[in-house]
Amino acid sequence: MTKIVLIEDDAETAQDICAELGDHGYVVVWAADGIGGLEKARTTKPDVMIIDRMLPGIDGLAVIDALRRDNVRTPVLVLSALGAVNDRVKGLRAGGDDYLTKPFAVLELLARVEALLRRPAEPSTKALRVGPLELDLLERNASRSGRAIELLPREFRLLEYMMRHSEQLLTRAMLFEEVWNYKFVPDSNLVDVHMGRLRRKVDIAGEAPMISNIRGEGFVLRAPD
Amino acid sequence: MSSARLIDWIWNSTFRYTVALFAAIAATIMLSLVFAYVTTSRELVSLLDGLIIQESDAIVAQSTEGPLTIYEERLRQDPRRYKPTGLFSASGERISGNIVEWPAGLEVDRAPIQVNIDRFGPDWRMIQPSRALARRLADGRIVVVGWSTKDNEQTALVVERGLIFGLLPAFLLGLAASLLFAVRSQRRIREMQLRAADIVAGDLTQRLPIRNSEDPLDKLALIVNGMLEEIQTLVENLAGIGDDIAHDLRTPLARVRIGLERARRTAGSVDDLHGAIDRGISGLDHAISIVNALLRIREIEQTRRLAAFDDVSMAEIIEEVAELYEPFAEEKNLTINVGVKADIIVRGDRDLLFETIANLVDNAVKFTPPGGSVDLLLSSTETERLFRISDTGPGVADNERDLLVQRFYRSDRSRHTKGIGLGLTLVAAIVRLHGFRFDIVPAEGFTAEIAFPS
Repeated sequence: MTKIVLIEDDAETAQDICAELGDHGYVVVWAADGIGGLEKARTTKPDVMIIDRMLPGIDGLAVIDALRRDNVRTPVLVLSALGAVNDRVKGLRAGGDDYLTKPFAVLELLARVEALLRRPAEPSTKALRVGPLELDLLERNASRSGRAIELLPREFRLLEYMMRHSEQLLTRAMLFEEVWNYKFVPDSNLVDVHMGRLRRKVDIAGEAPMISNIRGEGFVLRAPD
Repeated sequence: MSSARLIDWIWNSTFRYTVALFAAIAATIMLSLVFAYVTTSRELVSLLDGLIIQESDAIVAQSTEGPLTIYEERLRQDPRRYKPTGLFSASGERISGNIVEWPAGLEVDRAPIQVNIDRFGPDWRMIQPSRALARRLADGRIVVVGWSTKDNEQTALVVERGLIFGLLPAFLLGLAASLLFAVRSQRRIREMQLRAADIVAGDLTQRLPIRNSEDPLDKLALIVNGMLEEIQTLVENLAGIGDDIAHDLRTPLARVRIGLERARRTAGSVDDLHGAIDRGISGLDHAISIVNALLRIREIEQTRRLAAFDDVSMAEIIEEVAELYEPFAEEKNLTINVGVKADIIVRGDRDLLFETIANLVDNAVKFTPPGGSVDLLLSSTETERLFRISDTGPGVADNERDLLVQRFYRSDRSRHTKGIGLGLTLVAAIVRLHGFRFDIVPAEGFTAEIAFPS
């Protein structure tokens, strides 16, 4: 059973998040402030923590510092107001954590929690493989069942990210953050057009499709059955 | 007006201030007068003491030789009645002179002191405050030599008169002026109160009255008016967004409803129903995305400053946006041209600036008919650093453009312009947050500019 500790001082937001995560089978423990949150983190040993940036008393980032001092490596998703995003918050992604600016869609939160739960493959690997799909990170070429796939640099990064996170729902905003390196929620059409190009190269006629579009949510790369 | 209110009204801060100021001035004048009086009288006293010591020395000296002519002379030469003089026996009985009796407190052969001397003339008698001393003569008799200090009293009188005839009228004048001033500023404050009551009641178009720009009250009013301007813009922005929500949501929601209703009536198979549900979900997704966009605009408008401002290269952002939209444009048979004459580095939030340019390009790509082009230009002159986007689409009519600009800056409650989505509102909000300027320029197609401060 996957456990999540949520530290959020706004009861209404906390309720929404708890309800949504609960619907998806997570056990959510809620704390309204940093001290309570740290205590809950120590007692429940969660798999992921969701921490509001602005908390009464201790700041959300200070909570993370306290956790890390205790050698707790639990991945953290920080919720921040737009004006409170600073370099430290922006740097969370580099450290294996993540952040979302308010307001956010609950589906977005869910997808990111799932991504945090599934740590990606060792970043230093030389090649990635998902089913018949292979990606050589040194030679920078791709093939499916021996068929070479010609990719533009951006398409290569897109495919690499999807292969590192195969079987996971990747929202458009996540793809955008990772592949284009901008925190931006693009118009759905826009990412779809880029994804369409990649898809036509990866899934050609007669092959079982590997990239699927989850309506209104994002994309998943799966090995064919 | 009741008397209590009248007192309140008079006793307002302006009036109090005037009185306090006046009291301070009066105290200063009085102090300096008293100081002048004390110094003068002290000098006069030592001068007089010197004189009477000299005179008495001369009389004592003469008493060893013969007749007291200096004493007689002193008695005679006193037309202005300055010099009380008298001769007494060793036991203090009066012998001659113009002093009625031994002045109380006076002792023989001591330093001069201040005494009241009872003296007389042929047809008068008076108590005369004087500096005086008594000296024993060679034959045992005692001479009293005095000098009236009425000059001192005259100085005191001058001070007193100065206070009464100078300060009092000035005080009354000041009082009258301060009352007048109080009445005037009270009237202005009353005007402002009335105006402020209107504003509080919801009429945000009202401004505080201003007479001339030198008055401190006017300066305050100007500041308040500036604040009101900003509040009005914000409030009307919110109201405008309220209108937009209703307008933008009605269409997709109505479409979902019609679709679901039709499916319920006509669907012949589970697949038909699934199709209808999928269409319904995507319609609702569209509605949700509008709500999210609105919430985001509000978030940006409410954010005062961003914690993570950085040096951002606009050239890089523009090239990356162009690359991002390239496949989308290609599908529509459009060309995106990027003209970067000089890179522009601005202080800002990289993600939001990307979003701004992306929104403008998105808008252009959506509304430009196939075969057209979208031009992105970055230019920098000595006076201006500018990003300009123009397309070959239908653009906006002159009157619509005015309304759009008003909607962003003066926030007129103009109708939501058809075809111009929330994208431009978001652009305006982000540009405003950064302190840049956003303009829609009159041109063939849609042309807009963002000016960065140099």
